Amino acid sequence: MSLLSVDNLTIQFRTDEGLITAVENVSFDIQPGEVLGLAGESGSGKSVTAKAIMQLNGHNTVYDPASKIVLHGDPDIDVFSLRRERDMLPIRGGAISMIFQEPMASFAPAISVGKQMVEQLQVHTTMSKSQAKELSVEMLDRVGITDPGRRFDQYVFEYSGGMRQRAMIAMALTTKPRLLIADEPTTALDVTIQRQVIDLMKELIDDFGMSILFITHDLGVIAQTADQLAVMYLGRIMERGPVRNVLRNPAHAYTRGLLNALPNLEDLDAPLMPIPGDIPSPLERPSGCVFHPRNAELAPGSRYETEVPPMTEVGPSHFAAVFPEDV
Amino acid sequence: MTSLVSVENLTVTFPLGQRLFGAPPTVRAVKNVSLQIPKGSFFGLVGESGSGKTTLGRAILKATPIEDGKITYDDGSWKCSIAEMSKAQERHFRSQTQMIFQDPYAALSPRMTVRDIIAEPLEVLGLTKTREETDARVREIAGKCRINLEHLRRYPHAFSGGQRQRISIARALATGPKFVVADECVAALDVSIQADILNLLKKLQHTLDLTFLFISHDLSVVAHVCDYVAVMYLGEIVEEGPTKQIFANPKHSYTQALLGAIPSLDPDQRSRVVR
Amino acid sequence: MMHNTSQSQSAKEAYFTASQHQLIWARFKKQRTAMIAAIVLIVMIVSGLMAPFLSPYDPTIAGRDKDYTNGAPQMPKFCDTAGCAARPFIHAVERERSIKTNFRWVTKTNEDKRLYLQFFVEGSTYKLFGVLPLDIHLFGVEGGKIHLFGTDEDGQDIFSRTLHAIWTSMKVGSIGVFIAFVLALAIGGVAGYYGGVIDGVLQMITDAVRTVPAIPLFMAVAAFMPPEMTAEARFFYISLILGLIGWPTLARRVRTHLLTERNQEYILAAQLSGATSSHVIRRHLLPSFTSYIIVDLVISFPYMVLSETALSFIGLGLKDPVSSLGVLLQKATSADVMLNYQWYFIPVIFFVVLVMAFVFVGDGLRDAADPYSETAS
Repeated sequence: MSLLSVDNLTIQFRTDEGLITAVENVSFDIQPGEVLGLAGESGSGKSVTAKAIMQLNGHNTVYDPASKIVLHGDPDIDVFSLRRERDMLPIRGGAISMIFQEPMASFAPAISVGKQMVEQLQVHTTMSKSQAKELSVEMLDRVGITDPGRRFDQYVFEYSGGMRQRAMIAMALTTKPRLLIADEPTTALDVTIQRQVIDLMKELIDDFGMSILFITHDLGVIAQTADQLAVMYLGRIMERGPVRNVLRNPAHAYTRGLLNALPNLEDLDAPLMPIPGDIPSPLERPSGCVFHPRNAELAPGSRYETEVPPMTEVGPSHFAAVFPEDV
Repeated sequence: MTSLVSVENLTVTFPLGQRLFGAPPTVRAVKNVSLQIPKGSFFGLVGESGSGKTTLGRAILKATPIEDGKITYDDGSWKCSIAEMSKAQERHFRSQTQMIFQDPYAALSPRMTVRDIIAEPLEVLGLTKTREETDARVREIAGKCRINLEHLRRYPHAFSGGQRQRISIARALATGPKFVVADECVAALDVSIQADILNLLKKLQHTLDLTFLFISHDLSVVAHVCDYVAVMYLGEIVEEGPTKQIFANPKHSYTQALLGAIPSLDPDQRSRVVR
Repeated sequence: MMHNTSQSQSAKEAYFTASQHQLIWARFKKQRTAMIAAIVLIVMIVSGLMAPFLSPYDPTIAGRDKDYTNGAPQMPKFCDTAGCAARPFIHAVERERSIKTNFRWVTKTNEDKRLYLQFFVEGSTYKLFGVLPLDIHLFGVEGGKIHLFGTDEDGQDIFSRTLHAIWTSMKVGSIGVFIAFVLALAIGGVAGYYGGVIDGVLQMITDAVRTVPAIPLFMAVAAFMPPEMTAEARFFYISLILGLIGWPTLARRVRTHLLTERNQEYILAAQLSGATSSHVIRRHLLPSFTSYIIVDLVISFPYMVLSETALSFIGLGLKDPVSSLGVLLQKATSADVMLNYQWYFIPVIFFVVLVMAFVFVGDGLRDAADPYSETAS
């Protein structure tokens, strides 16, 4: 029984320039205790997908009626059926927590960090203020913040970059969520701090047993943290499967292109291989397979130009958006 | 190996805040740094935030005042000490050196056409006499940077990050400089585009005989494109040398920590550089 | 393959090659309220400009109608009890005094006598735009006078006075805004460009000027102004002082904008290409806030008009015989007027419409200019 199932998620935005498609027919499942990495470049729709789970997208968002996001449990919760803000409360911060790229922007600047953590606990649990404080200090300690008692009363601008991210993780975990959504949590950090935060998250997964939806453009970070990997491009999933399989045997041309574009540290003389072309503007979505204009491996006039390829099984639990004859 | 840029005991400080009376407290962004950038090299300057790498790059281009030390520029036929340049010398220096910036959105004036952006250094320094000459030069350099000539009439808002970065590069190369400081110029780009820009820079280096100072926090990128690397930490250079050597055998603990922190693409391996 | 029709392709190309001003104008045009307000504003400005031509009579005492003081508005009509006509007309008014009316002047309309409306009549002389001597007025009647908005207690035509008042208020507002703008640009510009100690000192001066309270200041000025001062001189001093206390807000905006702009990377790029300060200011900084300045100017205008109106209303600004909206409003404050001569309030409608038009246009401009500020993401 999966923890979260996303089926046929299609999201469009109403803008001055028209209706633009940000996410198209995205489906995936997250199992309890599993880390799913959602990888993609700009315009891939990965952040929009994550925010849809918590209904955090703006008022100009149009969700296709066939989209379904279900948080399984007792009872199952269909996220799209929740009409009022109040109904979202058990999900936002309760069963599902989210951490973001810019921790400075996620904490209120004029309220102490501790106070914000306690406030969150008081909203989602029946704890008293002192119990909440005790738990918050314990979490700050757990994430590796030294002198947590003093740090509890400080403001977020007094924390360093890495500490802020840790504090945000602490705050996200105090409510013992079943799913943690991490939206580019390490992108703004220095690489040595990033290493520490990745190690911390792996420890916490072992301790807390929660699932994580890890969104990033950095395949190296995903390789180190994720069990499953889904690669998105221009709002669609190109490939999906166990992380080792996808990284070692990429079945889709985009995944291959992405891996080839990364600097290869084993052979410093090898040339860098960019993916030809540019990411198209959202107003000019290609027909058929959205990646086809940049796919150097395709012969002109191929099926991919006009038809959308289905998700075909290319290995055990490993799927790619290719036609079966090309597997 | 002759040095194009020679930095000796450079110290750069910044004031923290402003005071109406008296001097405010300062922070030393660059502490007593010495460096030699060989002519024709692709020189990498690596460090995390607060290392002083951007400050060092700007100090070399005289975009930041120097507190102490000496920076010398010597291209074989022309030599000067950057801190003590006269106005005339500075004009020549500006035509010989340029910078490419990190943020492709902030580096281009939104009110000028691409043609005007690329032409601006030429017009400011008076290197071309007529409009036709300027236009010819702009087209030439735009072609080298793979900018579609039809796009010269457009404004920056029409372009993606990668395309804007190419316009930035074209602007930097318009005056035919010999030394270019690339300050985190691929950090804001998608991975698939980064490779494209880096290939372009390497190609331009060969065809135009340029020397690059490539500032970056991304070691894997630096490893691939740079001949030499200097690693900075808290305002000081902790290690420097040919890239392959540094990567194969890092001596300083910070360099080792930096290399060890790069996440490996192999889930069964913790870091990309196995120690 | 991507499908692009040639029409959408040329539309896209137009978008890509549009300068910032063109983009702002295109966005502005999409806002209906702002466009309607802009049209209204232009109509009002033109009527003010052409006021002497559009008004049938001289708005001062010289053009008053002795026979029709405190007269009700006369609307031209096409039909009356005697039948309909092709041309619009009004009924003549006659004033009589006799023992029957206790020797008080009583005005009566004579329903039998029709005065037809005529266009391009000859009337009192005036100078169009202050230079061109003319005596043609847009409309008038033969053998009588027409007062579309009625008259005041001296017989001055309120319609003519209103049109002239719009123009007077616009003039005062323009001079005030212009003075404020020049000062704000200079002081805010220097403070923002140089920063540091200069900025600190200029900020203190700006804040000091901003705290000067307007009404006590004007009371002091009114006390010192000699009563024999001509209307024009008065007018000039009022505008000057409005400008002198109005610059701080705009200066602060200019300064803030410059402080952020001069740290932008494209400025540094220009400097690293050897650009001098004057090149940077001319080519980059000044154009960067043209759109903000225009928005600020349009939004400050109604404040100037409001200030002048308020001052004239309480008697500290312009006085009779000058027509300004404040002066006209002041005449409407007595109980007698409020009970009996309600048409004195017609200029109020014009005033409200003028201010609202400015505000809507200013808001529309600001909304149109915002998305195209320097850091688009």
